[in-house]
Amino acid sequence: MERLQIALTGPVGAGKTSFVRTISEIEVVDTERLATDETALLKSTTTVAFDFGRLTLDSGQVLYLYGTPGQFRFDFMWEILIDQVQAYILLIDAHRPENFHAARKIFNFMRQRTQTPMIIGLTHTDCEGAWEAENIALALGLTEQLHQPAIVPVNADNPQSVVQCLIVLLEELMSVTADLV
Amino acid sequence: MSMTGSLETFSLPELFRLIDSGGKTGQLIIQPLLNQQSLDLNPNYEPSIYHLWFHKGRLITTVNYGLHHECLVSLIKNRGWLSNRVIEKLAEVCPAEVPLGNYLSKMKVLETQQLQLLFQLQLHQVYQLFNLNSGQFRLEVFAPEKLSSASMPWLDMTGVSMQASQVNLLALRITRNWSSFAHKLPEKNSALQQLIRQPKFRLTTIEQAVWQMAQSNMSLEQLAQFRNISLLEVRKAAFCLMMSRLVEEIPLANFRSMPSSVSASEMKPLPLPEASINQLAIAKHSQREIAVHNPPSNSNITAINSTATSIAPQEEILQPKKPKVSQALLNKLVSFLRSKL
Repeated sequence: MERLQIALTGPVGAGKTSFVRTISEIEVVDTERLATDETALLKSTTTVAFDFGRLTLDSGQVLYLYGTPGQFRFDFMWEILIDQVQAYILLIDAHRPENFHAARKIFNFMRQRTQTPMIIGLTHTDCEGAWEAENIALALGLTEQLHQPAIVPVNADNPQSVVQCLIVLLEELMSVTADLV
Repeated sequence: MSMTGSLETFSLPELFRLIDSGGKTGQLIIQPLLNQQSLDLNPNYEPSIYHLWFHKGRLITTVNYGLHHECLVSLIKNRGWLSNRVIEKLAEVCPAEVPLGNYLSKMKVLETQQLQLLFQLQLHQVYQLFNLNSGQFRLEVFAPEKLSSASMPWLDMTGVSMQASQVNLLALRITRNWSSFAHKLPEKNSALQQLIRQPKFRLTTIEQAVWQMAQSNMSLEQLAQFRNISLLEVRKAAFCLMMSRLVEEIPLANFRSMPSSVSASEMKPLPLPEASINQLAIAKHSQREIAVHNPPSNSNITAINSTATSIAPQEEILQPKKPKVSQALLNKLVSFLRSKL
């Protein structure tokens, strides 16, 4: 059975679990636990291992989705998951600049370990105080000199928006498929 | 285009780094928040509002619009280099789109060294802002096509400028209050990566040591031990270099050091580093069994959803290898997803 594996990564509260839940055809296998640290200020539960979702094509081919934990103390899971996937989405909450620092660290972590195709998904772009994509890119350390990944707005709770985001990632992946091992 | 926020969420060094890396032109307005101590001392206390101007990522001037309004003309007056009447007259006749400092130099009433000193005085105001615990900022960026002569504060410009990342380095070296950046310091188990071949700025001894370690995979903690320097000083120096766009923090995975703060209610970590992906699947499977047969008694804990009827088989949750992906599969997936739009 041919499969494509995709990871959703990003800081706490970016919408990774919501993204997987929105698109998965199965009830998501999650490891949500009661948040006990500063994450509790943001939301009541947090992912401690990963979320898992699936989408099956008529032909039996499948798309697997893995949502990583957002907290750095679970970064060992990032390393495990990033080795498994053919592409990933870095989700960032556009209206929480306090999380851009963490997003930059996660991005550096991933880029140091893999050349896997990726895009950046911006959530909450319609919220007050949301930063523009250009400035979020700079906050991530992306300058014009570097290859800029695609940056797309996404509503993690909206199936259509999630589908559109996935299509952008797949198109990115298609453009580099020949280089994949 | 403008961005607003608080310095607690996006710190001043981060703003300067962003302005530098984006080659931004515009003004950054900083309003320190009133604190109780200031109000107790003077109920009528009003904090100053600082306007910092940038051109293509370089700091060109700063103006304090508080009670002690400090513009370039007042700085020149205060130094006593020119009489009030002369400097005010010269400011009046200064041509448009020419920094006042350049004009005064051209008119040979001020020397280059004097202009540099005036710029240093402006910089000094900026350095003070790095000690703020809290405040609001607004960054107004001018698009090049909308940049007009009226946009720039010509009469407050000395003609001297400094790269915003260099301002960061100089300011952070003398910053006393690091509380607002404490949570932004690189982690002790992070490594650094050099972003350029050679620093453009002269580095201190500790900064030089940190810069050199960025060529290796050594963590900050290891460097501190190796060089017998306090870990905090190493992390501060690393932060200075990061904000100066000389290095980037690269977090090293906690793969070899299990998180000590994982509570019992959280998922038991894998026996790392030997854990394989298969072991992870087994661990997940075991937990599923536990969830099915012994539902968590603590109602606050969200049960693993593996008790659901439409659950994925455990063996497919994590696959042992990254499979090759064909163009055909990608095409099918795109078509499949498009059909859902």
